[in-house]
Amino acid sequence: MSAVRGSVRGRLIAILVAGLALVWIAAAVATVIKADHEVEEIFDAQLAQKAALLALRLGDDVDEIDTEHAPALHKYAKRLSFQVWERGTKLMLHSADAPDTRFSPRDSGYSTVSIDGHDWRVFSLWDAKRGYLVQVRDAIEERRDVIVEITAALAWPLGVALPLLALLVWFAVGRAFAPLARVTDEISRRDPKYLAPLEGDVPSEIAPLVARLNALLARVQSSLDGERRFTSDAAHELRTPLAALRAQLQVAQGATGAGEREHALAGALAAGDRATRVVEQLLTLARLEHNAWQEVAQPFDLHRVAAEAIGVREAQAHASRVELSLEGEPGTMAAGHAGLAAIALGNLVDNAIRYSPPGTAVTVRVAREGGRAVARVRDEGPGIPPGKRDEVLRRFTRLEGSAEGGSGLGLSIVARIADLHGEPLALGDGPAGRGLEATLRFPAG
Amino acid sequence: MRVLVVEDDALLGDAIQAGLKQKGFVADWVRDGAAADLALETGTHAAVVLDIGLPRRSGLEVLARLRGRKDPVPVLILTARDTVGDRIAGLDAGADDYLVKPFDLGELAARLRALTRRAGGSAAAAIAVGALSLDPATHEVTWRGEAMALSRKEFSLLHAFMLNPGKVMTRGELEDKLYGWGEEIESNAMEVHLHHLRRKIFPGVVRTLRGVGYVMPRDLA
Repeated sequence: MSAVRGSVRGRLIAILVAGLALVWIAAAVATVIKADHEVEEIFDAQLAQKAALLALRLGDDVDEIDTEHAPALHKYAKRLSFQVWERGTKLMLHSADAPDTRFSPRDSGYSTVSIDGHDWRVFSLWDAKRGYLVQVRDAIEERRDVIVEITAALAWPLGVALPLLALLVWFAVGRAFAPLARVTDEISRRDPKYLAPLEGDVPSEIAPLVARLNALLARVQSSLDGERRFTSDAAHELRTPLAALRAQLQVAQGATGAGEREHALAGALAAGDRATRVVEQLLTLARLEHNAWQEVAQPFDLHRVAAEAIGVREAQAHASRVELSLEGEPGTMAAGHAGLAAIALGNLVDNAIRYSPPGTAVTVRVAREGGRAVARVRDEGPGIPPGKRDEVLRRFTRLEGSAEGGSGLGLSIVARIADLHGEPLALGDGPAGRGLEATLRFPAG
Repeated sequence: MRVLVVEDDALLGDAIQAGLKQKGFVADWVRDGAAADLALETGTHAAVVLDIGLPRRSGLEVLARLRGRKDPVPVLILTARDTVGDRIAGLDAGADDYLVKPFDLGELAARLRALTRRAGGSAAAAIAVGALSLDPATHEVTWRGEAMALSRKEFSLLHAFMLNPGKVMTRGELEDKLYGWGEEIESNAMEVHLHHLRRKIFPGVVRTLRGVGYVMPRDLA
C-alpha cells in the first residue's frame, strides 16, 4: 500500500507563494536601497540649492531678506531652517526654529549633526566675498519618511497579491486535476470484472498514467481470459477419457464372454490412467502458473536428473521397442529447481518415446555449453514441422496423427519450466535432419 | 444396422464399437476426418457417430462435405464441447442429434435407433411387414403374435429386409449391412442365416431370385 504524503496543491501553493514573496522582497530591498541613495542625493542637492539661493538673496544688508514670508512651496520645504553667521561667529540672521548656536561646526559642505535630540543634515556655504557663513539644515526624519513611504508602497501589493496568488493556484490546480479526479471516479465505479480500457480525453501529463493503466487492464483481461479458457479446456480434456472409461465399463457390464469383458476392463483401466495423467498434468501446470515454485534456485546435477528421468521410463521404452540412452558428463551442475527439471526432462523423454517408431533410439545429451548446463532430448520420430513448433507449446494442442494418451499439456509444462529458468524451450530438427530435438538450457550451477 | 463411428480417441472408439455391437449394431470405426470422408462416400452406413475434434479434418468439415453431397444419412455428433454455441454450430452444420461426453452407451444406441427410424420415415419404434413385426430397441420379433428367438446376425438380416420390403437386395448389399470392415465373412454365411430365418419364421419370409438376390414380399401373411 502506498501512503498519502503531502498534496500537490499544498506544495504548489507553498512554492509559488514563497517564491513570489522572496522575489518581491528582493526586488523591494534593491529598490529601497536605490531609492534611499537617490533620496539622499536629491535632498542633499536641494539643501545645497537652498543655501545657494539664500546666499544669493542676501544683500549687503542682511536685513533685507524676508524669510518670514517666504511661501511654503512644498510640505518638505516648510521646515527650511537656516542660520547666517557673520565671519562664522556672529549670528546675523536665522529662521524662527533655528537655535542660537551653530548647526554644524563645519564651514563648508555637508555634515550630519544631532540637535535637541533630532538628527539633521546641514549644508554650510562660506561666502568669502562678504564674509558670511550660510548654514541650511533639514531633518533626517523627512528623508526617512520618504523611504518608509516608498517601502510601504512596495510592500502592500505583496500583502494583497500573495493571498490572491494562493487562491488562484488553489483553483488552477483543482481545475488541472479535474481529469485525474474523473479517471479516479471512473476506476472507483468499476466492477472488478469490467476491464475495458479507460476512455475520454486526458491532458498530456496524465496520458502516460492512463496508458499504463489501460495496458495493465489489458494484461489482466488477457490473463483472465487465459484462465477461463484453460479451465474450460481442462474440463473438456477430461471428458474424453471419462467418456471412454464409462463406455468401456458399460461394455464390460454387457459382455457375454470373458475375453470381451477382460478387454473392456483393460480399456477402462487405461482410460482411468489417462484421466489421472491429464489431472496430474493440469495440477502441475496450475502450480507452475501460480508460481508455487518460488523457492531459491539450488545447484543440482542435471546429468543425474536426466538419468532418473530415463530410468523410470525404461519399461515404457522397452514396451515400445525404443532404445533409451544418456550421453554427456556426470556431474554437470545446473542452477535451478531440480524437481522442475525432472518434470521437464520426464515430459520430453515421455513424448520422445510416444512418438518414436519401434526400433529407433531416444537420446538425452547433457553438456555444459558456454556457461550453461544444457539437456537435449533427441528422437527419430516424425518431428514437428517448423511452422507448428509454436503451436505445440500451447496448451491442449495435439498435432494430427498424435500418439495415444497425450494430454496436449506436456510441452506447455516443459515450456513453462524452461521460462522459469530464464531460457525458452527450443524445438529443432534431430541430428540427421529427422526426428525432434528439444533443448533445455539451465544456468550453470 | 451398420453405423460408422468417427472417433480419434483409441479407448473411446474401441468402447463405442464394442458397445454398439452388444446392442445389435454393426459398427465400423475410423479415427480421422479424411478416413471418415472415404468411408461415408461408400454410403453403406445407416447412421454416423461423429466426433468434432478430429485429426486431419474436423468433424464439422466432414459433416459439411457429407451434406454437400446431398447425403441424408443421420449424423449424431459426439463431443466434449457442451456450450449452446457448440450445439447450435453442430446442428446447423447438418447434424441430426448431439450427445456430450461422457454419455451412456444405452442412450447412444437409443438415439441411433431413433435417428434411423426417422430417416426411414417412421416415428414408431417397431416396424412391421404384414404379420411380421420387429422392435429395434428391444430386439423383439413377433410373427403372427408369437415371439421369435433370433441370433444377433439373424435379427440384423431380418431388420435389413424389413426396412426395404419388396426391394431386391444383392448378397453384396446385405453383407455390407451385416458385417463391419475386417469381419470374416464365410462364403455361405448369408445362406446359413437365411436358412435359419426361413426355418424359424416361415419358408416364404425371404424369397431367392436366382442370380439376382433376395427379397422380402410386402404382403407377408
